[in-house]
Amino acid sequence: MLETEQIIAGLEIGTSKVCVVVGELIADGQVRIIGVGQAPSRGVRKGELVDAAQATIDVREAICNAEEMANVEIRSLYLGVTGAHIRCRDSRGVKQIMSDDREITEEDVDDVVHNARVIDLPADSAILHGIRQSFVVDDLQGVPNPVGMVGSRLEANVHIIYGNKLHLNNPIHLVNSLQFEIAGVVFNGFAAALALLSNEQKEMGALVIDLGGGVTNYVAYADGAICHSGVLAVGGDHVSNDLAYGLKIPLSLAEKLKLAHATAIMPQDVKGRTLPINSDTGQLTKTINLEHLHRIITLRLAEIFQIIAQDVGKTGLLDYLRGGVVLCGGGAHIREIQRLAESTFQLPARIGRATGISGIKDALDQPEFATGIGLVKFGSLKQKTAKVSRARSFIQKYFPSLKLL
Amino acid sequence: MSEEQLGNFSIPPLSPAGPNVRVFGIGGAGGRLAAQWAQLGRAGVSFYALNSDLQALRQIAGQSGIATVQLGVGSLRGLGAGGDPEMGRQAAEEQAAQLKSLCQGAQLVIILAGLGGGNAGAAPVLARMARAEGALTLGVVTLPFSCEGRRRNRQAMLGLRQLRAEADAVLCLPNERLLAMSPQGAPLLEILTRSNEFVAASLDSLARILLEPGLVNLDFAALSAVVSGRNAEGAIGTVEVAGEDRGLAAWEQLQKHILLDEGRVFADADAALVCFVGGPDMTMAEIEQVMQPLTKAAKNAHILMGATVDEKWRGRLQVTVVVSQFAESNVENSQAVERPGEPAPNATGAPNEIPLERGRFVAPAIDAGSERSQETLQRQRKRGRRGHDENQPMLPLEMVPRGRFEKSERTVRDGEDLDVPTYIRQGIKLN
Repeated sequence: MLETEQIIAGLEIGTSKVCVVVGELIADGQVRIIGVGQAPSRGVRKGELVDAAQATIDVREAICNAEEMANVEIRSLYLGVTGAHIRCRDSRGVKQIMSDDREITEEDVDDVVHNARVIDLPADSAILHGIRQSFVVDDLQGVPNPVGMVGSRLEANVHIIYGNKLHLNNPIHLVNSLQFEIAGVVFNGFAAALALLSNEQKEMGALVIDLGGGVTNYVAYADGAICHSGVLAVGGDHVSNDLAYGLKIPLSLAEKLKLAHATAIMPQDVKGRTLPINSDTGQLTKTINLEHLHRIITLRLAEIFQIIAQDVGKTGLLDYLRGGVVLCGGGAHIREIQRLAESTFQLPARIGRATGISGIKDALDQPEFATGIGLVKFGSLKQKTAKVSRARSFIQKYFPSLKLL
Repeated sequence: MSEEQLGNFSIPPLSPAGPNVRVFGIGGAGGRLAAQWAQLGRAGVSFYALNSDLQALRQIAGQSGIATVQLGVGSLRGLGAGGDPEMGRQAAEEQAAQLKSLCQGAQLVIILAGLGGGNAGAAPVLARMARAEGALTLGVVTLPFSCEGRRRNRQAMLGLRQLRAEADAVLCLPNERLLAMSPQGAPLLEILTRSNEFVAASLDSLARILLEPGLVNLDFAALSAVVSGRNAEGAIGTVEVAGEDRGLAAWEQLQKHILLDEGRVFADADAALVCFVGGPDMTMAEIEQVMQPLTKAAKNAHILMGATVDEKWRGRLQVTVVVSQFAESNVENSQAVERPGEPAPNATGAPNEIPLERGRFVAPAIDAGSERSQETLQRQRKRGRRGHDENQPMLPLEMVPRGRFEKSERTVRDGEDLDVPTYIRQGIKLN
C-alpha cells in the first residue's frame, strides 16, 4: 500500500470559513486526525461559490495551513458540497435472482442498488449519494445485509441525495484548477452525520442539524439508515444580516454583536436595557436596544428550526428519532441553542462530538469541524470498502472456486 | 368616407376605356416620383405633375405619359411657393375647380408629395377635391431628412396631419429610412433615384393589384377595406424573389423591408392586404410560407389576400403588402420621438388648428402680432407637454440592495423570501 493512500483529506468550502481536515488511516481501519487548516471564506454565499477567484485564494490558504500542521502533502481531497439545490428522495431497486442456488451475492446487491439509482430526476441533476437503507428479500422486510441469503426477488431501498450539476461543478472545477485530485464529492450534511453519530445512535434514530454560516444542512437517521436529508439556505449570515437591517448598523458590527450576544431563547432580563457601542477612539457612537437585538436573533433561529421540523415532520419521522437532535456547525455555539431545539422538536438535543475517531482533541470537540472530520471518515470508509473489494476481486480472479461472504 | 360611397366600390365599375387611377405628383419630389412611375407605363393609370415652379415642371413636361399642371398661375406667376405650404395651399385653393375636374371619374387618386416644401400645401386641398369627386384617396408622402432643419420638419408634420384629415389613407415614407437603403457615400442623385424607383415599384404593384384581374382577385373594395377610414396610417412594401424557396425568401425579405419598418409594422397592423404575383408555376406552398408567418406576426389584423398569375413572372414571385392601422401612432413614430415638441397627430382637430394641451395656458397679448402669438402658443404647448408626456421613459428596474446576499439566489420557501428578516415577515414591531 502506498503512503498517500493512508492520508485522507476533507475540504469544506463553507460560507464563513474554508476548512481542511487531514486524517491518517491507522491499524484496523481506524482514522486519526492529524491536521486541521482553516481560512476565512470570502467567495461563498449560502454555501455556493459566488467569487471563484477569491475562494481559490482562501482554499489554497486553508490547504497550506493543514499541510503545515499535519506535515504531509495533500494530493487528493474529499470535497464537501452544499447549497439550496441539494435535495433527497427515496428510491427502490428490484432484481430477480436468477442463479441456480438462488443465493444472493455481492453482485446482486450492487446491481439492485444500481437499479435504484436509475430514477427520474429534474434536468441537469447529478446524484451525489445513493445510500442503501434496507433490503427486502421476497417478503422479508428490513434486511440489513442480504448477501448469502436465499431468495428469488431482491429489492433495495435507497436514499438518493442529488443536486444540480451546474452548481456542483463550480467547487469541483475550483479544486481541479488547484491541481488536487477529487477522491469523492460528499454532501456536507451526510459528512457531519458520519462524524457525529455512532452506530447505536443511528439505530435509535437521530436528527443532525449543521447550523452553518450560509446554509443549514440536516440529515435524519432512523433504524440505522439515513432516511431524510435537506438543505435550508438560511444560516448565521441571515442572523447578522437581520441585525444589520433591524438595528441599522453595519454588517461587520452586526457580526461582532452576534458572536458576543447571540442567545437562542429570549433572556428574561433584557427589557429596557441598552448596549453602548463605542468607536475605536472610545466615543459613543450608537446605543443598541438589547431587547431588539435578542428578539431579532431568537425569531430567526426559531424559524430555522421550525422550518426543519416542518420538513422532517412531513415524512412522519419525528417519532422515530429517539436519539434526539444533534447540533453542529458554528451555530451550535449559540447559547441556549439546545433548549430551543428541544422545545421545537420535542426531543432531547445535544451538541455533537465526533465519534469513532481519534486525534487532535481540540478539533474533535469543535462542532464546526464536524463536517470536515466527517469527510475524512467518509474517505476512510470508502477506502476500506475499496480495499476489501480489491482484495475480493483479486481472490476471485485467481481462486474462482472460493466463495466469499 | 360615407357608407354610400363605400357601396360604390363594392361593384367596381371597371371601364376598360377610361383610366380610373390617377396619380398626382405635387411639388418637386412628388413630380419626380410620379415621372418615375409613369416610366413604368401601366395601362389604366394616368399621371399628373403639379407644381408652382415652372422650371421644375418643364423638366418633366418632355416625358411621355405624364401631364403637367401649373399651380398658382395668377398669384405665384410660375416662380414656386418659396417653401411656404400656406402659399401652396392658397394657390391650390385658387385652382380648386380645375383640380376637381382632374379628379372627375377617378376611382382611386394617389397623391404623391414630399412634405416640408411649399407645394405640399396643395396636397390636402387636392385630397379634399378628390374625395368630393368620390374617389378613394391615398396619400403617399415622404418626410424630409432631419438635417433639413426644424422648420421644414415642423411643416412636414403639420402637412401630414392636414393631409391625414383629408385623405382616406396616408402612407408615410420617411426619407431617412429610404436613405438607409443606399450604401454609404452614394451620390445624392443616385440615392434619390433609387428611393424613387423603390417607391414607384411598390406603388406600381399596388396599382397592378387593383387593375389586373387576379386569380384570387383583389379590387377597390379590398383596398378600401384596408385603407379607408380617416387617419388610417399605412405602410406599403413589395419584394421580388426568384429561384428556389421563393416563399421563404420572400418572407425573409419582407421582414427586412425598410418601408415596412423591418417587419415591425405587422404587429400593430389592423388590416393587411397581401398580393402575390407569380408565374403559372406559383405553388400553394409558397403562398403558405409567406401567409403563415404573416398571420402570426399580424395577429390582430384583418388580412386580405390576392394572387395574380402572369406568364412573364415564371420562376419569380412578387409579394406586395399594404398594412394599415386605424389607431393613431407608430408609422412615423421615430420622427415624432426626435421632435417631442411636435403636435401629436390629432384625429379631430381641424387642419389648421394647433391643438392645445389643457392647463398652463396663458393667452398671448392682444396687441401681439399673429406671428408672435403663434410663437407664444407653440412655446406654451411645448411646456405643457413636457409635464405629461405620453412617452414617459420606463424607469430601470430598481433592485433593493440585499446586503450580504447580493450575489446569491434568493431563499424562497412556500413563496416566502427567507432572506428578509424574520421579524419583518412576522410583522413584529421593534420599539
